Amino acid sequence: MKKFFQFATFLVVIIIAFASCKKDKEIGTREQLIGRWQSGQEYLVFYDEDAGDGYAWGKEWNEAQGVLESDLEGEDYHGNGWFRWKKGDDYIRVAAQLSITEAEAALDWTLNSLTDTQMSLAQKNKQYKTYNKIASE
Amino acid sequence: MKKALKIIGISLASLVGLLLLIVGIACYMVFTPKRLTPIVSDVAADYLTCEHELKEVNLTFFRTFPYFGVEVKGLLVKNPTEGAPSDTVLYVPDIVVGVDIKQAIDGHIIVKEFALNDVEANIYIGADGQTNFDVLRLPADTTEETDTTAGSWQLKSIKLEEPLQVGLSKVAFIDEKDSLSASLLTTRLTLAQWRQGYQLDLTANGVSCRMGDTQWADSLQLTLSLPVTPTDDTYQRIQLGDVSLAINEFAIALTGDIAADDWTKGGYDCNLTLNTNPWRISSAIALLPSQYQSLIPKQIEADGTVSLEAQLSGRYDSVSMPIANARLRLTDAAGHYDLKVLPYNFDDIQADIQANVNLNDKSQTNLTVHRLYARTGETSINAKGTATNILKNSKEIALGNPVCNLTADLKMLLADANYFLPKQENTKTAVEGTMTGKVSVLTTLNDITEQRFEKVKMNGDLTINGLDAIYTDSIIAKAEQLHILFSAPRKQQKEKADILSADCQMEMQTVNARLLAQDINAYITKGTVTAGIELNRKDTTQLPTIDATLHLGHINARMDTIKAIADALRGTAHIEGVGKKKSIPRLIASLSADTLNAAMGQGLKAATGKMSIEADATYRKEADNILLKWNPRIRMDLKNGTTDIAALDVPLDIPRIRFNYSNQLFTIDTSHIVLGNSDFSLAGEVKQLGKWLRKEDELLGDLRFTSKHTDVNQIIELVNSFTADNDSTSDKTTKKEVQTDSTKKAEPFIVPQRVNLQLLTVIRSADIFNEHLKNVGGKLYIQDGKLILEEMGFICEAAKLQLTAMYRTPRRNHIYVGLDYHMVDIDLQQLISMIPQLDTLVPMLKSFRGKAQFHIAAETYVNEKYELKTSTLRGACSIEGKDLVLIDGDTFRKMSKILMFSTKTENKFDSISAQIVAYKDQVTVYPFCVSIDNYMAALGGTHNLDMTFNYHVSLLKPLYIGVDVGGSIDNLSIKPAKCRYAKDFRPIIRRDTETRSAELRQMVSSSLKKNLKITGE
Repeated sequence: MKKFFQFATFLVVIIIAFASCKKDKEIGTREQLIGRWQSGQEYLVFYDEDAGDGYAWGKEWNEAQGVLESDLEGEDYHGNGWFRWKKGDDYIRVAAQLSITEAEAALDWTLNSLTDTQMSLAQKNKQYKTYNKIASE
Repeated sequence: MKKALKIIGISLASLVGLLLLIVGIACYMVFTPKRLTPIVSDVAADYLTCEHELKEVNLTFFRTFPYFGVEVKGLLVKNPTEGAPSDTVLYVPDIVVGVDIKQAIDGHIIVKEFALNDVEANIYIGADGQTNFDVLRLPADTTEETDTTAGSWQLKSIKLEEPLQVGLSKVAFIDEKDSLSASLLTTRLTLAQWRQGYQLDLTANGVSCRMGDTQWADSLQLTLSLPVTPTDDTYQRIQLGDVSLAINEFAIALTGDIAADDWTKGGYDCNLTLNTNPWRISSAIALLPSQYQSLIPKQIEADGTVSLEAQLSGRYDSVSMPIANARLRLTDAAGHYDLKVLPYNFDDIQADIQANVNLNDKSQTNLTVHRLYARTGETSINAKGTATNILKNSKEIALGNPVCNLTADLKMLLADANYFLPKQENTKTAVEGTMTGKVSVLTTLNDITEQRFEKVKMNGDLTINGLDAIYTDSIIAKAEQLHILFSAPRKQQKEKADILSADCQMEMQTVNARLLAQDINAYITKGTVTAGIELNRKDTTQLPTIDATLHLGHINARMDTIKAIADALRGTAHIEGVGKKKSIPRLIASLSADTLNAAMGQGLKAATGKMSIEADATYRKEADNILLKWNPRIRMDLKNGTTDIAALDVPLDIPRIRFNYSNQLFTIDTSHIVLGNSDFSLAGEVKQLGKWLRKEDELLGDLRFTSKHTDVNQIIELVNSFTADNDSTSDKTTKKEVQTDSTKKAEPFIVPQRVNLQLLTVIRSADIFNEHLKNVGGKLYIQDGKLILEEMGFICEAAKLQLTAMYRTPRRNHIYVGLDYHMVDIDLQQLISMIPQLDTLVPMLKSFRGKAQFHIAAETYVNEKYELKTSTLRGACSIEGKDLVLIDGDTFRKMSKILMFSTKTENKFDSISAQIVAYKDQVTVYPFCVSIDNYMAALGGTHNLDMTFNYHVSLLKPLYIGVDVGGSIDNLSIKPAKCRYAKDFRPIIRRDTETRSAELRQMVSSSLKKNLKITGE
């Protein structure tokens, strides 16, 4: 019985110790994100330009659906493929402000990996795509 | 006694016989030709310089009884001259002269006989002026001696007891100097004294005359009878009896008298009347020299008779001329033509023309046409009138500027005009019917010759009966009767140089006009068209000015399947050229009708009450758009319009439309349209349409759309039924047509650029689905290539609503659609009823009942076929409610069993606040918390556009249990799971990852409400 309590105490201590030491794993850095990324005909661009509240500007488009980068010109960062972003530990928070109103479609993209040249990102639940950096903005 | 008488008779006879014997002995034995002829020849030789011959000179008594006479035979005068056709100048075979010598000595010449017979003469003047008749040799002082003698002998009287007779067998006169020749054959001239007068008769045959190359007379017969009678012994006035002059069959008769104070000093008073017999024109033309005959085209044959009647009265001297009054009559004339320009023969030409010639006051000279008639077939013209100011008021006789005033009665078979109509190959152009009426012309000759037609005054009154016209097989016009009045120049027209003008009025009883190519057919009854026309005849670049008015009692027109019927149609039109050259057409027109009915097949019928349209348009050739080309100004007013559209189950009425349009400003004063249960009114202004079309500026507009009631359900039904009708129609089309349609490229609506239009909408009430909306108001913009429905607010029984929507077309294949929609105090069941798609996105919503706030903003791009580009879909939605009630349902029952909920019939929530985000093809429902009974649960998950989902429900109170709900509606999977949202809503130990959802929800919720203008109760 004593051994049991000793083990239990040990286990609690270990658990508490592990729990107290547990730290979220940060994937990549903000600087690594900044640049132009491509996955097939899908493009992502993360700018370093300040968008307020710790966010920066970014944009995306999918040429497979007939959307061109030029379509985003003159949009004043609203609507279409423009968004504000900021990097979390293993996610990117994205807030796309609509053209018609000030409403924002806000969501988190999940990062699986991020290097200087490659990134694995899930915009949807656990559906990761690999993006290659094609230019540094 | 008898014996005495016998003795006396014998004695007298013996005496006479003795006397005759003595005379006979004297004539035939003493003064024999042998003795007389040499004597006379010697005397003749003294006077003649040329060769001559006297065959015999004889005294005669019995031939010239009771006077002695001289008979000369064989007088021949020869004078050979170079170039002369004959050496003989004169040959007189026989000359007899009988004179009372005793009386002659006393100065009284009594001629018993003077006869020249069978005279031949050849008179010749050479080119150098040398003549063959200059053969007399007169002593230089002969005249003086004669004068001296004349002083002792004076002619006191001449008496012709027998006519003087001159018989010419042949006379020839040739003047080579002046290229003149003339000849006579068998001519007889007699001069007789009759009572107190004289009678001159001349009969000449073979009269010929040639001047140069012109044969003025050729073998004519000339007859003259000239009776002259002095009215007194002074011979100051002589009377001409029935003078007649005839050239062949052309006779002229002259009567009257002539008086003179001194015949040798001039100054004659005339009173003469001249008549001709009817002259045949063809014969008269034949008398003309050949070169003048050749001036008349050979294709023209003119015939008929012409006669002249003239009076000459007044004094003729150096300062005055008698006044002449002549009347020319042409009867039974005909003109036959073989000319392309005039294919008709005139069978009956008659003229009666009177001329008054006053050379003393030439302005009084005038011409009166009593009748000028011509007929060809059924067509005839009968004219009469006057011409004044014929002669110039000058010393010389010169043509003045005749003022002609003519009136003509016309009777025309219109078919006679067919020859002049423009023809086109293999098509028919013809006109039939009759035209009668009167045409008057007032003009001067100078205005015609100098082509100042604007000064010519004309007017006419014409009636056309039975008009039946066809033009190149494309236009057909029929009319029972047309009455046309015209006058030129226009009545109120100021005289302008070179401007032709006319007023015209046409009245019609019934007219049927058809344009075959366009399948247009129009029947008009009781119509009047009045037009005034002005035209610059010299400057063809200037457009005519036309003022026209139209009054139609009734018109029934059809074009293909379109029919239109109008009563009391009135219209005006003014067409003119504007600009420096007046070559730019401008049209000012108006049209009004008491009623107008139109139909397009069986599908569309429309009718109006009173309607009027006014238009002012100026044509600009250089513009490429019809509105810019015509720059129209239009004012339209329409009342009591109704339509019956087969595709619509309800009537479409237009009680009133009134607008003013110009390329600068389009103002809709009022418009009212009633469609079934709905009514609409549109008013406002649209500016700068012209500048916008020219791409110089943007289009501006401010319109107000109002409606007392709009039944959206009925309109949707109508649109659906209309679409279904169209689809059913298309089903009937052939496969080929279907294929053609399928290959047709989709044409999305492209929002025009540079347009700034605003439509303020005010709808008092509207029925949409099961909702009755009130005070629907907002603005519809078209601005910078965007179509925006801005903050459209309205109230329904279930909620207050606000809608903003936008449509942009930056590219044909990249079209933006967005909306921002808010509902406050909305009943959740009503919300799902209004937006059924929400049941798919948030399936649990239909499990709740109660009031909530609903906010949604979404936008996406679509392609030209309006297919979604999911990569561009962005949306955010927030549903917030309080005191909601959970409604029992299948899904809830399943969950309740797993979560061990109580099974009460009504489960109240304290509140609900759900935020949903759509991004690309996925909808994320952020976890939200609901309280039911003693339970607390959190719900969240994702939903894909392929209708699969993955939700999680965490029971948070009284214990932690989770359920995963996934799959699809048809293949639902509900499994117990770890309580995933415990930390979100019971933050005993809150971690960053667990608060992220809350942050996102807060971002979404607050951003959605930023544009909210409506508030809850």
